[in-house]
Amino acid sequence: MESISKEMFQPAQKTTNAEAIVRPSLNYWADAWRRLRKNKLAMGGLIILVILFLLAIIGPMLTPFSYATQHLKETNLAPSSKYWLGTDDFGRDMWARIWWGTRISLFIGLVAAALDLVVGVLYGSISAYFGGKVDAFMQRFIEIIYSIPYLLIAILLMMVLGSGVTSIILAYAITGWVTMARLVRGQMLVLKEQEFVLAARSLGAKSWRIIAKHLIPNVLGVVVVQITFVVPTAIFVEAFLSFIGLGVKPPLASLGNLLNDGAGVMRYHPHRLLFPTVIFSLILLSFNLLGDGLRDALDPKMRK
Amino acid sequence: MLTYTLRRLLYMVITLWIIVSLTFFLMKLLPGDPFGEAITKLPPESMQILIKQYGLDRPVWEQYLTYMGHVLQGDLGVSYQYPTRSVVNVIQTAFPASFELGIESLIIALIVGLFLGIVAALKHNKAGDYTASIVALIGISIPSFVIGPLLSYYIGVKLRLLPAGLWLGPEYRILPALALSLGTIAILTRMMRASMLEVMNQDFIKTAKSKGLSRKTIVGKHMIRNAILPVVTILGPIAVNVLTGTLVVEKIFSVPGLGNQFATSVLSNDYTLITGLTLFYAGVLVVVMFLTDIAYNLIDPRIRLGKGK
Amino acid sequence: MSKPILEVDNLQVSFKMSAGEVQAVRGVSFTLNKGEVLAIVGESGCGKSVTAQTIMRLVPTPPSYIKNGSVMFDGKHDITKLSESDMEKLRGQEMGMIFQDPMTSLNPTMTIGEQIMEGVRKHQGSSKEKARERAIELLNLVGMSNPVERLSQYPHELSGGMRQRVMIAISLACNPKLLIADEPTTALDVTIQAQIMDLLKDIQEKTGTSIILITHDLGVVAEMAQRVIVMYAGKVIEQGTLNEIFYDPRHPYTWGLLRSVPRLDSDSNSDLASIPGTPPDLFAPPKGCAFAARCPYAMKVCLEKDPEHFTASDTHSAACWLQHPDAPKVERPIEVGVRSNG
Repeated sequence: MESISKEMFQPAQKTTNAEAIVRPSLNYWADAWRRLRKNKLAMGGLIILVILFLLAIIGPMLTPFSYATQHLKETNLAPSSKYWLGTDDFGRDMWARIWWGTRISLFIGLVAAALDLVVGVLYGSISAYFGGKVDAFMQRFIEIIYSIPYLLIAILLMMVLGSGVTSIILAYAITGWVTMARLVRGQMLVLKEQEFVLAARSLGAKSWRIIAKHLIPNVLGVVVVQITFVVPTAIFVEAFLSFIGLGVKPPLASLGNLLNDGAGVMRYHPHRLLFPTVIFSLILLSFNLLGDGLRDALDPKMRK
Repeated sequence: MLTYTLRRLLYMVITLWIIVSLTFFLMKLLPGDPFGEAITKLPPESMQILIKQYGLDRPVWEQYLTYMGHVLQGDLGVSYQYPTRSVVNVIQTAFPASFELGIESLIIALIVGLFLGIVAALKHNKAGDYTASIVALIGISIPSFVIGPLLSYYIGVKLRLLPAGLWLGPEYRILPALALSLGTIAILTRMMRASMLEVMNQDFIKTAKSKGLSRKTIVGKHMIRNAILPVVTILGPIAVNVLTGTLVVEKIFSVPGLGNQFATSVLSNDYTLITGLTLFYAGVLVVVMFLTDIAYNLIDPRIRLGKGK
Repeated sequence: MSKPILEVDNLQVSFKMSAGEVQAVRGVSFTLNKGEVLAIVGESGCGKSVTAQTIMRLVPTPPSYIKNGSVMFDGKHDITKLSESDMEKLRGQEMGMIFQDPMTSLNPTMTIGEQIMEGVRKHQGSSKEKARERAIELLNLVGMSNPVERLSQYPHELSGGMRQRVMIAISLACNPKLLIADEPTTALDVTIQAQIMDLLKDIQEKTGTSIILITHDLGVVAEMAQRVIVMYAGKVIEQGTLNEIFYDPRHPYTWGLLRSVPRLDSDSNSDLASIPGTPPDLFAPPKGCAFAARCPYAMKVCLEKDPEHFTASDTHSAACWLQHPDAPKVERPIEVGVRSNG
């Protein structure tokens, strides 16, 4: 046995505090953001979305042509230095039309998501908060709405309301809020029963404080994630309806009717299908990537 | 289980009733002329006869009751567009193609989607996983009405590998079924992957391993069997997806199915045909949802035997 | 005594995580003799479960890997070097395992019968009828009523205690030489705990199988173990016979563990002692003794050097600098040394 100096057997000066918590604690959102930033796919999605949003705003201003002006002598041109993405069969500039279409599609997605958020969160919270018979009734109602195929209802509504941005948003929102309401209710019901709510209550926290400090922040994660899936769904619905001839009417452009027009002439002018397809798919892809990343980042079970 | 089935059956009936009523009243609010521009040029007397014949002069509630009565008897009325054909007749002619397309897509989607999901989970964080995840992401980001024209153009027109449209022989089925199944493949892959990953971390997998079972047995008997259960719950919505998808895919590939009928009836404001087709679709979808729901409950012993959950 | 059934030598197991390497087991050595019941005690996260699961190679690889050391089973198989297909032959056949939570350890979509018969059929190649007979026999052995009916029941139809009996039946299916029970009673009600422990004791007497009992419940240890290993932060810090650990513990951590057991004979008003602090972060284990930061007797040397094992008897050793001849003599807290349930 190697010798150890007697000095070493003096009581140690404790330099480390065993009770200290090793890692700094971060609040929920800062922690989520830290994890989201590490997720390359989600960040890629976020960056693409920011670029697409910017282009949707400034894109049409970069070209002298308006999305609606017809140049009947210059129809169906391939991309050139004059018309960057070519022209359609009325000689309208495709660059301007595509960014206008993106603007309208994103607008539809965001407004639909906002409606979804308000109706879904309110409905879900009320259902969970009151519980009992109110909850049971509200749940039956949701179950029925949920089992109605929403695209069919959207089609019928579109025919009654007439084509247009407002109709599309309404047609989506009428059935779209159900998923959000279910999620919020489910989450609220679990949270209501959890120990930390009981703990807060037993420590004398008031109801509004429990709701604001404990319930809302915990539901918010789920809601934010759901929003990132609602926006692309609404954009999809717009495109679907436009594709069967019920969407936004020309000369106004939306990604849906650009896709529809492009599909009709793809044999002769493939560029008219290609560009809207790329933008449309990028939007859906980016929202999905961001949504997946957010779900991983915000899921408290994943916290390490 | 029996009370559950009965309850679900009741919901199904209520849902169908709401859909029928909603369809009827929405159609009443619809602007536009049901007889099309050409017929409005008819003399007023002929118009009157036609309106009488279709019952458009009676009070709305009476029309509603008559309509409900007819629907219950399986009579969806006569198409305005083709006055000689009943809606049921139109459905009978057009449905087989839609049905075939739907079923084929569903089968492709199930086989490919489940397989990719299982591979992705077993090869978690390896090349197989990334490949499957990329396929899934593409499938989700590129809906059938985008991939459809692309397939039709590049494979059908440019490469001439397969027919770009129409519905004649077996080779005409491939592209539309592929276009229609891609989105569903994506959903199933993601769902199956997540479900597998969850099951793989369960304690009973360790138990199975501690018994000395081979990897093959563990994957087949313990993992897949349990992981597939939650996937069965979304089979209903998946079938709905595929069936509504036929609406656009049929248009792209000129498939003579219900979707194509739907598009033309939308353009010509053919009230009864639209309502009839919507009802038919809704009916099929609601029944499919009901059946998958019951099937799920039969498969999972925890629910079948009335405990758990 | 005959050849040991299990010899674990300097076993090191680590988990590779994105944030770094977690050294879950940092050089564990012990032996288990035939027919012996050995208890491994320690707080959660001390590496006792990882050690046990490594013996059966049940820890998923990656992220885990065996960094060093060997595990000799039955004097002929080094488990750290066997191929996966050779391991399959050992698992279930030569060694069985009982897990902590019977609620999640059984496959919810398979009947009890199928789950018991699976292992029997795989290892003994027996027919369905034979496997069925064996399953009934096993259910009888673990004290289940109506074994024939049980065969076609699903786990959710049974109570927690019953499910743990089924787990035990599964682990015993092929008469293994080694049974590892990983906290077999932790998830159960107190009354059921006693029944399960009695059952395990009974089975050990009947079959003479060697058992490794992993637990943090010293009451369970006292009831059936012959020898005890105390683990802390991935290392064995003290080992000895049951009497040595209970009557003559040497490591301050063992003292703390013993003091934290509720006792019938103590003053009911006195608080239950606890060990302050938390175990060290195994991403970066401390340089010296892992327990030093929580040890009321810590000396300078404890922060500098990891103590080796000082032997107290042929069977008893403790890894603590207090055992060094030059160390000051420390009075052991007086409560230690009296067993509550004799």
